[in-house]
Amino acid sequence: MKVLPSLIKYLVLVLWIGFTLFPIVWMFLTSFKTPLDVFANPPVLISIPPCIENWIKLFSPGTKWEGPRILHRYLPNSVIASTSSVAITIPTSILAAYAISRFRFKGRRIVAIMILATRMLPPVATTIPLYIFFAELGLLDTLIALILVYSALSVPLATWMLIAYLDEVPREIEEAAQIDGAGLKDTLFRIVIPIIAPGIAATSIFTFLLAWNDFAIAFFLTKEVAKTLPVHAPVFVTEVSIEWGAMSAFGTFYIIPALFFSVFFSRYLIKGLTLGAVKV
Amino acid sequence: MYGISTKFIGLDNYISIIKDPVFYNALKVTGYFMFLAVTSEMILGLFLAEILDGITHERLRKAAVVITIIPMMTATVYAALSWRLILYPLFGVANYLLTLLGLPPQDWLGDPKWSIPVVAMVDIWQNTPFVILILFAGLQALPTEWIEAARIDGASSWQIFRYIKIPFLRPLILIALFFRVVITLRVFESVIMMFSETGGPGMAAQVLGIYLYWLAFRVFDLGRAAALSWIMLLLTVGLSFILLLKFYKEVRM
Repeated sequence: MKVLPSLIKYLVLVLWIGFTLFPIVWMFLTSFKTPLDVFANPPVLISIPPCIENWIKLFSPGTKWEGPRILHRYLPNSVIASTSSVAITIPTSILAAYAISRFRFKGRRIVAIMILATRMLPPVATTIPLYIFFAELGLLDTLIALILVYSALSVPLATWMLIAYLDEVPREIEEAAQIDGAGLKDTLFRIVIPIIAPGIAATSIFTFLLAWNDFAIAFFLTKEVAKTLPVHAPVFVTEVSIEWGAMSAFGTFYIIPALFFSVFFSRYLIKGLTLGAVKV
Repeated sequence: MYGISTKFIGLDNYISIIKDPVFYNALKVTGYFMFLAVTSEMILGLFLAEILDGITHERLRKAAVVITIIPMMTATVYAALSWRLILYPLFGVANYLLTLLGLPPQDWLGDPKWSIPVVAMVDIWQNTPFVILILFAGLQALPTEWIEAARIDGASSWQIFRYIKIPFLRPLILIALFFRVVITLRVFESVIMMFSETGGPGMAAQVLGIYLYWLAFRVFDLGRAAALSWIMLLLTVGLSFILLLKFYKEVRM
């Protein structure tokens, strides 16, 4: 009687893992297929030998997706926008989270709820005012605009997550340091920050990916100069013709950071995710 | 705006949206999408969290958790592209698998009746992991004594799941539901990637986000688009308020 339910359990688990991995694996394999194999019916798993033509074509000039621009413009744009937003968000959020977690001041709860509320804003609904705002500043299609918006969107998320990490640090540790004569600055920088370092790492990754994965905001606010990788993706799937091989190479290329972080930092990410979500 | 003389028109932008049948179509389509995606994610998430929690093999469980987190770290743009590759009518794997099972192939991207299910599929692939991980963390925190006590009293696994685990998880289920509802309301990029800017065959996938884009950058009516932004915001606030109120009531109990 006990064998059957656990057999079903493992079967469901295997199906789930297959469902999760299939799109990623399939796209990866398609990026190494010959044009003929892409259209093969029944589908073939891999071309033998694997064909790297798609990858060469992805970055070569004279294609409708302007290959060289991917490496020389869109990729650097994505990297700069994401890392700058981490560089602005993390220091700001550490200070904000520390204040909300440790100090008792008037309106503290309201500040915390306001921070959560900004997280609930649908990005698409904010794009119109942002578009008008940046048009008047003359900052449309600039990386500065993107970095500002990404930071503004990440600070609430990061602050909320860091509050959850800070609440887990026993206050006695800080009190002990203060009795030994450490000031507020020393307590924060030499005691608290090292303790929550894994939390800061997880929060940085979430902040990075928020910008890296964003489509809606960059789609509205950029045209060409500040265009990021995801905004370039629609070029591959126009109605006229879809170059599945090059598109697959592009998709695979684009998710390398996300894959890297989820495989090597999963433990911290899961903790950050559950802490950040559960403590409402 | 932009130097042209402006005139205050009161609620005219709101009234013209509320009178627009396209708006009701968008509202209906978004609601259908949210219902399909969120219910599937909650049910799948709950059962998969229970299954993960029941895996006694430590390393297998850890590996499954790592794999589970991957889709939610990838971009929605990527998720939509990869599903488009799978669902492509002529040589897509989805149709191949259907024919293997003896079922007729479907025009996933061209047939209006599949438009929203297909977009929901992308969302389910990407966001069920969020529900799983939240509820899995909850199950791991459940005191094992409770389960042992129930076992001794002769409770079956189903009874333990139904009468101990689900009530224990209730606040977390509400939180996961809250996040999923608020976030599915903003669906936009997966539709663009699957169906370009048109909103799918016969506007079958024209969700609120696409309608907004269309008003702002195709009709160039920023006034109405801004009004629609406010309507979306009010919807979000309203839904959040209901769910959070329920959550705080539960927690206080």
